[in-house]
Amino acid sequence: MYQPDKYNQWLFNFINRVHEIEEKAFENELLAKDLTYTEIHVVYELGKYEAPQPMNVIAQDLQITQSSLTSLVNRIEEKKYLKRTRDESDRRIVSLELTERGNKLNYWHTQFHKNLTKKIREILNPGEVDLFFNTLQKLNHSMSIPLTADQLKPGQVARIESIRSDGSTKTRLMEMGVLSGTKIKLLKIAPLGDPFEIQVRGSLVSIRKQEASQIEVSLSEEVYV
Amino acid sequence: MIRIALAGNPNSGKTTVFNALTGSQQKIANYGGVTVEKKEGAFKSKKGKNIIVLDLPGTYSLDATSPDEQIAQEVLLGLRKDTEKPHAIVVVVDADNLERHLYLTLQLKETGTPIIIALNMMDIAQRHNKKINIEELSNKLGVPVVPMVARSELGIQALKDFLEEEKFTSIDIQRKWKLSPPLEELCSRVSQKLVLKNLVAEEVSDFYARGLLRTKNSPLSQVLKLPEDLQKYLTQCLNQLAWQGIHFSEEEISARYQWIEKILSTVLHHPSESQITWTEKIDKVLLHKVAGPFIFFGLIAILFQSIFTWATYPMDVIDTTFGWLSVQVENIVPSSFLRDLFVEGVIGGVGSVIIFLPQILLLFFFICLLEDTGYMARAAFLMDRLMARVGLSGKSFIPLLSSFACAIPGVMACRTIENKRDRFTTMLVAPLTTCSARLPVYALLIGAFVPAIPLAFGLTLPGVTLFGLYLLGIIGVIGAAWVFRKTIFRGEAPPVILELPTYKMPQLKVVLRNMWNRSKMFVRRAGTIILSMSIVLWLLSSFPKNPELENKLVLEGASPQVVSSNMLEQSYAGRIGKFIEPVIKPLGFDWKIGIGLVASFAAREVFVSTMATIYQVEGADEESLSLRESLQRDTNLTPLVAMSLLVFYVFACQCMSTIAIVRRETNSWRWPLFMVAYMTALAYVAALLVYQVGSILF
Repeated sequence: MYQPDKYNQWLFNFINRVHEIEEKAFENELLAKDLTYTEIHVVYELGKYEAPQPMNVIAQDLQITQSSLTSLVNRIEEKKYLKRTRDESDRRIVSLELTERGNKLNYWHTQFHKNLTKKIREILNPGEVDLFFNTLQKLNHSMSIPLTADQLKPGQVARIESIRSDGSTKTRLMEMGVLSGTKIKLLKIAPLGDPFEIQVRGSLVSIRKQEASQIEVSLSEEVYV
Repeated sequence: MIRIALAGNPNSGKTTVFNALTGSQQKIANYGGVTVEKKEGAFKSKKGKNIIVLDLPGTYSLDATSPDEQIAQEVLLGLRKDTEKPHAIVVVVDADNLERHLYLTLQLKETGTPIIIALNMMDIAQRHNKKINIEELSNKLGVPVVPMVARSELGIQALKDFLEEEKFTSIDIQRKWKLSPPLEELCSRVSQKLVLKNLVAEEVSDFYARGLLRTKNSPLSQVLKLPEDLQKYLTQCLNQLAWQGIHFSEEEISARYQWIEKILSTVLHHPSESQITWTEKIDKVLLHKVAGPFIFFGLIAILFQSIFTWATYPMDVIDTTFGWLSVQVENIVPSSFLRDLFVEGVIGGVGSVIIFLPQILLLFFFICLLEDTGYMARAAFLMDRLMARVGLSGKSFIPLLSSFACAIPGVMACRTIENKRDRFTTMLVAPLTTCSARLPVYALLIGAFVPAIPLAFGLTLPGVTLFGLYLLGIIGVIGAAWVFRKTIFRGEAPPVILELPTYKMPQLKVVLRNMWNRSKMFVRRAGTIILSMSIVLWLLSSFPKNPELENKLVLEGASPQVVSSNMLEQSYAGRIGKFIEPVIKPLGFDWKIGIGLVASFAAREVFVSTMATIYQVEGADEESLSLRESLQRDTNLTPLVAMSLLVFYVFACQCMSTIAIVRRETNSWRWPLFMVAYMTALAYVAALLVYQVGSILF
């Protein structure tokens, strides 16, 4: 039987348990006490690579802008978990590298993750493990926050994945040729930040931010629509 | 006789094709019951056949979400009593924008009416290196295609010749795009049932079936008078679709576009890297963050400059002409009731409308020019965010702007606003903008009561006062719009999806014809009502006659001015003025102003001439010193009363023509009456506040 209250409770409890376990894993370590949650994640992300990585790679991995990464890195560098290095061949490129302290934190982190999956494998039987992780993957895939047309920058081309709005708005957009699979280009944003001028199927159309935020898109490498 | 309907997307050049086909033989009317323009024209073919062309409203689709689309659909299905079903449709298609324009073409074809494609703007497509295989296009669609450049009349003759041949029946009307198999099956089941019950002919059964499956309570189900069992079956089908999460119309739209994409892959060859077009280059400047608004406000400044300075010369000429005309008639025709009625009622009434014609012509000229170039949509784009603050959209901006000259073109311009709530809100607040008819009243009262004290930066107190009155009007518009969108027209902000057409060189011929048509409509609509109202007002202020009193005054040697003043006082208008005195007393107004208010109910500027009569000043206008002095001498008329009166004029709805036009555009007396009520209430309260608070302070 469908019991939404109970399901929510279980879901919430599970997320909390994982958090608790993570916290416990570091309880006896003096490491990471001085880092915030986001700062820890920068260290982990960097830890995934063997070699020093340029700023923009990490920013992209974490889906944050380079400028917000810069301020994060400043703080983490102060606490001596990582350091900035300059590329030998091109001095303009700044790369990030973990320090001894950072590497140690990363080690504990991977240990924690290994323990977590090990624990799940102990509790569930092999069939259940497969089912559980497949289900998780499916949820993660469709629950990630998608890019919408209002987040595009002028000049960017994107492919429409789906249109969330319903009823007459969606019908009107579709009649004007704005369909799933159609490529659009954001041309201009009005001086006060709204509405947006987009190019679609050879015509120029103005839509409001409200409508644009209902259009899910994925960025395209192309320059022309 | 052959009847042709002309259809097409907005900006397809449909109007140009219409003009090229019919020349000057055009007739503009309204479809009964709605404010959708019905434009008809005709031409004679080489063989002498009379071909009537009906210009359908420009639409993106036929799915009947807006009144325009509804009308187009009804006409094409032969459902309208006032319009005969056309023999064929000429659909104007922009060759430079085939994909989107073919969408409507497919829909039109599905109605079962034979269609012919007028493939317009071939020159622009060519300039963009697009190669269109016309034969292939015609074959794939199963429809004849006539390529043309309507602006230079290329291909128009070919189209005329084709229409003359009347080879309409051979046109293949089978729907070629396909829905998903289960939906196809559903369609054919419903259409079979329709045919079995003898409700529709077999060739259009698919069109009707899909129309019925698109929405619940489809207007088509009433048209067909569906029997109960079929209605039940349909409801079942619709419920099942809803349960499965299938939007039938969305499936249709996708299927149509997919089919178009498919056929265009063989029909259209265009460079893989589309070049940056002229339009994009111009938009870089005109929609620029800084330059865009700057240019926009510059254009508005020029517009206002032209309306308020250039137009004054012809206005003076008209004024003098009508004055001269009255004098001539008075000199030639012996004194009689009819002569007075003609001179003061008819000539005066017509004159008070015609005097605004130069301003209105200029206003329409600019608006038509901006529309024809494609800038108007950009203005809406630039202003949208600002208008959204009060719950309106960029489309409301131009109607409101026009209202600064006159509310009538402003209200008429509201037709372009699709959303009903937005349209009505804009119409109801438009008369609050300071129109040019208020200016004579302002000029008289400011001239008489506001001393010309210089202020800082070369400004003077009268100038600042005038600016303040304009500002007050604007605040009124913003406030009222905001309140209406929160109360009677509450509802979510409608989606504003607006096409920004490519820029085009304006064609003087098109602009002038447009301007002429709209001005004609203004004169006809406003003229008739103003004329009748000014006759009524003339009667009110001339009757009852009191020959005894008149004779007595004349014998006593009173001047003609004193006589007419006394006559006005005892007329019906004067009695009404006295009757309403208790009501307007709290605003500081006496019965004399009361008469002025009654008289200026038809048109505000009448206030000036009425005051002149009451104060026994001959031949006075708002600039006249003697009238100003007379007003100043009146001890009842303090500067505070003048202020209260000015504020009253800012908000009050004293314009019969506006009321008439709102009645026309909303198709009911409810809204114009509501407008009068709310504006009068607003004016009353505002003037009351000014006078009462002012009395306490000074």
